[in-house]
Amino acid sequence: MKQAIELTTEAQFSWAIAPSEQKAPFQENTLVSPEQLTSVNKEDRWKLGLITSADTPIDSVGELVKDVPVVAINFHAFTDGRGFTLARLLRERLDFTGKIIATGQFLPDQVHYFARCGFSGFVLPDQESVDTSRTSLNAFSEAYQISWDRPEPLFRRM
Amino acid sequence: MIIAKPDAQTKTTMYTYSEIDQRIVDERVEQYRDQTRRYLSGDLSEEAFLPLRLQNGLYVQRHAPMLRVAIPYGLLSSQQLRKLSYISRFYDKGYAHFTTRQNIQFNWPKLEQVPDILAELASVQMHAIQTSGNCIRNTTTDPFAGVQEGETADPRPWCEIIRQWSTLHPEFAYLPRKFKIAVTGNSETDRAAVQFHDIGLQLRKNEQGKTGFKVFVGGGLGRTPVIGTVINEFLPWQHLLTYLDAILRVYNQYGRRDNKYKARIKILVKAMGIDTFKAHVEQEWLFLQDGPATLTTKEVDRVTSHFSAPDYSQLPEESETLNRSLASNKGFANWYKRNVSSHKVKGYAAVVVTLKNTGVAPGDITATQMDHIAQLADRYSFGILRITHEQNMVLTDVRKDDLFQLWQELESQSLATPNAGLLTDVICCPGGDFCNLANAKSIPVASAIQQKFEDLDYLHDLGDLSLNISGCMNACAHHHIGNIGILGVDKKGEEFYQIMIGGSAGHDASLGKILGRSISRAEVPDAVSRLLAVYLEQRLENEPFLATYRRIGLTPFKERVYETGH
Ligand code: HEM
Ligand code: SF4
Repeated sequence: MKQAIELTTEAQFSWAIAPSEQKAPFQENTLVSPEQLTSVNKEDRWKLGLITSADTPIDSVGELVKDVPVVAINFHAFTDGRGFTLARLLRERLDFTGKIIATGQFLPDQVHYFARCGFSGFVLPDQESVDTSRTSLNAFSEAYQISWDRPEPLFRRM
Repeated sequence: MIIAKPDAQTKTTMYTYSEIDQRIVDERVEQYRDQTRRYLSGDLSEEAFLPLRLQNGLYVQRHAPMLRVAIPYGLLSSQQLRKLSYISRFYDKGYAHFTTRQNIQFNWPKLEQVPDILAELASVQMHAIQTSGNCIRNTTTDPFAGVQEGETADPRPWCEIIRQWSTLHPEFAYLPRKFKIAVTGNSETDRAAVQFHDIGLQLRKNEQGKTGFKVFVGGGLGRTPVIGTVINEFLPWQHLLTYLDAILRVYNQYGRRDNKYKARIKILVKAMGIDTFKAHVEQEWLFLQDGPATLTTKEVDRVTSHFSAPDYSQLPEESETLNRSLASNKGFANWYKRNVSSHKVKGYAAVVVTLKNTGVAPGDITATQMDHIAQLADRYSFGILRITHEQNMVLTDVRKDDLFQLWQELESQSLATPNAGLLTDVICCPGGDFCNLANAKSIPVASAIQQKFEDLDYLHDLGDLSLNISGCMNACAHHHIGNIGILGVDKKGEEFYQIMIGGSAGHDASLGKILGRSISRAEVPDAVSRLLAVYLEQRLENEPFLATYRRIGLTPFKERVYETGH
């Protein structure tokens, strides 16, 4: 259930992001938008990843995520807390077992919350942010609530 | 031979941290220490530091940073109060300020010392987690919880359960806007203003005698005051946390994020309509209901066991000592009449210590006063205190026999102003003297009113009357729900005040109505005096201000205030 968390800089990130005007076919290891993914044959989708913004309603991508190994949730602003709910719903409601990666504008200090909600990868601007994120991931050794990493609340584990 | 059980707990009258509770708070201090270090060394920009410090209660205000510390559901031990006193002396200017949300604020801490302050707080099981920022804030409740008649159940264990659930909740740390929850255990008298919170919970029993909550959603003050709407008439207690999760999740997904003035849940509930909103919540709840976050009897019992009743003595209901002192001392009798209230245990009483001396900002308390109150709490009230949303303190468990002595000791520290619930028990925000957002000052208005209405007989004759003053429409002092509300407004760069009347925070919740055009600061005390004159002329026997207003309406008050040349 719990996946190893990958922290990478933008420079090291192994996936390309398709420009919005680009049309199918796409190269392997490309993150494409929901519209772009819809235009790709189902049997070819496993080579690609889906990239969608933090404000995406879960229902609009529920079908698409079944075909891809990676979903990237892109933040336009670190304040957009909808991405936390989106990740939890992908994991806990749709049982998505692939990778969930955070991209765009978020803070390294938010990473522990993200990880608890089901994110397993983070694309960060530089090495310093990677280091800060690692500190953030290890900031807390316990938590009260249920979340993807802890399916039971503290009071059931005591 | 009696062998102590290894897990036997010493009896407590308030929640005490487990090893894990303590660890979480300690880890938070270290996390914040690191964030502050990075900010001071230039690794973290102002912009990136802002949300991090806010989630730890640190604002940057007019003169200096301001640190808001949570007093969970208003409950404080004497040891904690001594620590707050120490912090205010050592790290601040020797005083602090109680807010209307059962928090305490330090107005002059140094940014670089805040991690040390947080560590001091952690050493007495306190913190500043989520005291600001767009997250779930400190849960508030009735300051008389557990000691007065008429309670369905004690709200404090439920508040603690909510505190733990909301602390560092991973999904709801970046909501559209801040989120406040209040709980009351009393179905007759609501002293927690639950209908003015994002979520209000009222403990109740159903026909089968089972405990649950009446759930209100979408109440709030600020720019758009709204009375909360019932979303669930009876939510069985087991489902409390999953239901809260469902409401928060709907809000997190659909609440507006494009305009901060329209971002509170009240706006969402209005926009969707309660039926649609409720349908969304129920839909979400289907997935969470009966899941692992469902509360267990074991957990509720564990938390409840922390709030045992103190070791009350068996006393007669009447106290001879008390009656003698009441008969012989007018000052004491005045104070008794206003500041002492009933207790469910025979021979005991609850005492309100008002922090409303004329000339001092309402809610302000000095380090010396904190030390004294801590000592009095130890001597007279089992070492426990409460903070009220009227910015006062309560000693909840005082023997009637001790009241006179307690009063004398309070007197000697200027802490026995006999004005609880009276006009001069003004609820007031920091306003233009301290706050960046203010349109106008509020503290001088409070002082002017307290000065004008000093005559105790007159005040006692007026009886219960709430007066609330906010320096801008953010409504930190709840001016909409004061019987008399005063709001600072800006008119072409000048400070003016809008007057409203008829607000109420209780079960009969109502919002005040604006009297008419706003007036200058100098005119405010006179306007208040005219309002009171109308009341005194028109009231029926034993009729409080609010009831008179509801009976005769706005017009007589309005006409008198704006009448010229008299
Ligand atoms: C001086 C620093 C302060 C600042 C900058 C500040 C700022 C604000 C703002 C912007 C709001 C409106 C938020 C909204 O409606 O979304 C608000 C609401 C509120 N504040 Fe303050 N405040 C301060 C101090 C206080 C104090 C000292 C108190 C208590 C006396 C207080 C109690 C409240 C309460 C109860 C509300 C809730 C109103 C509601 O339900 O909408 N605040 N504050
Ligand atoms: S009501 Fe306005 S002036 Fe008063 S503290 Fe709140 S934001 Fe500041």
